[in-house]
Amino acid sequence: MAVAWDVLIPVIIYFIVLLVIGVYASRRVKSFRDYIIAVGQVSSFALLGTVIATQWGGVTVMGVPGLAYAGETYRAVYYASAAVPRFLVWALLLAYPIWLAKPWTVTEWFTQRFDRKCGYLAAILNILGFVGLIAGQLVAAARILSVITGIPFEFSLLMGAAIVIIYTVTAGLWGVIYTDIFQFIIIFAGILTLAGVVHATIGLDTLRANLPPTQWSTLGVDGALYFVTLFILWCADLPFNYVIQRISSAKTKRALFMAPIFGAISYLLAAYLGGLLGTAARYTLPKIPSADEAVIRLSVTLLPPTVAGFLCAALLAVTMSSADTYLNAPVALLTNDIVKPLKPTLTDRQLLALSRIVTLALSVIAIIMGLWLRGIITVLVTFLYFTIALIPAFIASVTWRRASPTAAFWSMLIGGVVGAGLRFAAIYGFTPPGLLYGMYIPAFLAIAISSVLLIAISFAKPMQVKSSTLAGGTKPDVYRIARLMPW
Amino acid sequence: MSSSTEEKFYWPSKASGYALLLIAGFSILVLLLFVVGMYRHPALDVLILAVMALAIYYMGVRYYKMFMGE
Repeated sequence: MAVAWDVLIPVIIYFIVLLVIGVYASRRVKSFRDYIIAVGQVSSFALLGTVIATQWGGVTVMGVPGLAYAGETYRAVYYASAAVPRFLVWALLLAYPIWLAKPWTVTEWFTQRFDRKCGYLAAILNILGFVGLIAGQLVAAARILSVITGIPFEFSLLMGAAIVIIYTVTAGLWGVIYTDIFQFIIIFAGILTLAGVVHATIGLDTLRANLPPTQWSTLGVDGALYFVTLFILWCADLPFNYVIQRISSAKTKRALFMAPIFGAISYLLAAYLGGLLGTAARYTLPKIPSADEAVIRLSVTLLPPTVAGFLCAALLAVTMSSADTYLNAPVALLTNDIVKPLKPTLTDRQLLALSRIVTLALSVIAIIMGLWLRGIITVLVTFLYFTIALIPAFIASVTWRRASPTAAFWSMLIGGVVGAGLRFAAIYGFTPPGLLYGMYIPAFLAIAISSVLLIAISFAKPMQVKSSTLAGGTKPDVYRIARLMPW
Repeated sequence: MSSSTEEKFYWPSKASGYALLLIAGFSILVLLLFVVGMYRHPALDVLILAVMALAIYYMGVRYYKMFMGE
């Protein structure tokens, strides 16, 4: 397949703009702290951009329409709309208490609220999950590039990864935030344009008249189970380090609260557009090699080449804005939480250099995984099963005073092993095929076991509260948290 | 860390309960509206999306005023 330059040129322009923004953002990075965290410095619009751009990844723009393309519009709707309550959990329960403490990383949060053991366990589960998430996003970006431009998959993966690495290594979290704002604008312009063209050229009446009734089935009990399972999986994304980074970065209380509220609203749109575009692709292009390519191939079919190129840039924006975040977040965990305590003599400059080296090393691992796995959706969803077990302890950390460190540790460990174990058992064919054993049971069991353990052990072995208090009557548990604060 | 920070480190049970009620309520509302009204006419789709978005926004503002000050 020849390289289509009229499609590729907008993509190249987009890459150049990303690099320029990355270089501009690098001027703000003067220390290790600037590289991994932007505590209390990010304004409303920037926070909104980075929250939405990060979340709208390969699954949202390629996987969700793919479900509708596979023959069930409402499965796509349930997948994306399950993110709405997940964003409400973020806004209504998690954001404010965590913002008050302003931890640098998820390890710090779990250490402050529970103990060091829980902090390290949360970090390990995060890092395991992140490598898979980075690889998944890079593969998604490579799929888009190779389908639209004809560039081979391997070269597309390396090209996309190189761009993400350059601006993430150069500018750290600030580079990620600035490029996310730009990508947030591109995402919505591109996807809404395609939806408008679908309505104008095909129309809902044509889709309803020409596709079988099963396409519009609301799926009954299976639909309800699917929605609840996806809500759990979306919540499993909450204890990841990038959520803590964004909460701590909020400049104001209002920005902190409104970013996830608008995130919830954006997923109403994602649910609608995912169902619409996937269904339109099924009608227009009934025989494409992979359901994940539905939106890309629909855009190439319906749009002029240059406009399709800009849409390619939009689709790349969503995957790369997720990839950069997933790359920066575990770097903070590895350098700040693991290397720094082991080598406290390292200077700020050395830590900054180390962070950049770790970013590069993680990228190389992710590229190798991407070249090896070559799948998007399965990889992304599978790695969330590692962090499902963190949900009860994470929510209890802000809502339930009695939740004890011992209970949190065992709930995360056993729940995580059960969830990820059952998921991998399904992938390797040790359990019967289908959603029941592949998705529903691993998710429900992991969340049930970790919740029961958290509650039972917290009651059986209550938290030991120190009797000493600070002058002025500070409460003992708050004293413990204050003492561990990085500042 | 100020004393007001200490007081608000955990949500009071009233706020947690209210939040859980809102999360469950909005999940059901979103599912119902998608199942009952979506993909029938573009104008109706836009209307339903706008209603859901405004409901989430105003619920958010109300919760914010009730439990986070201002």
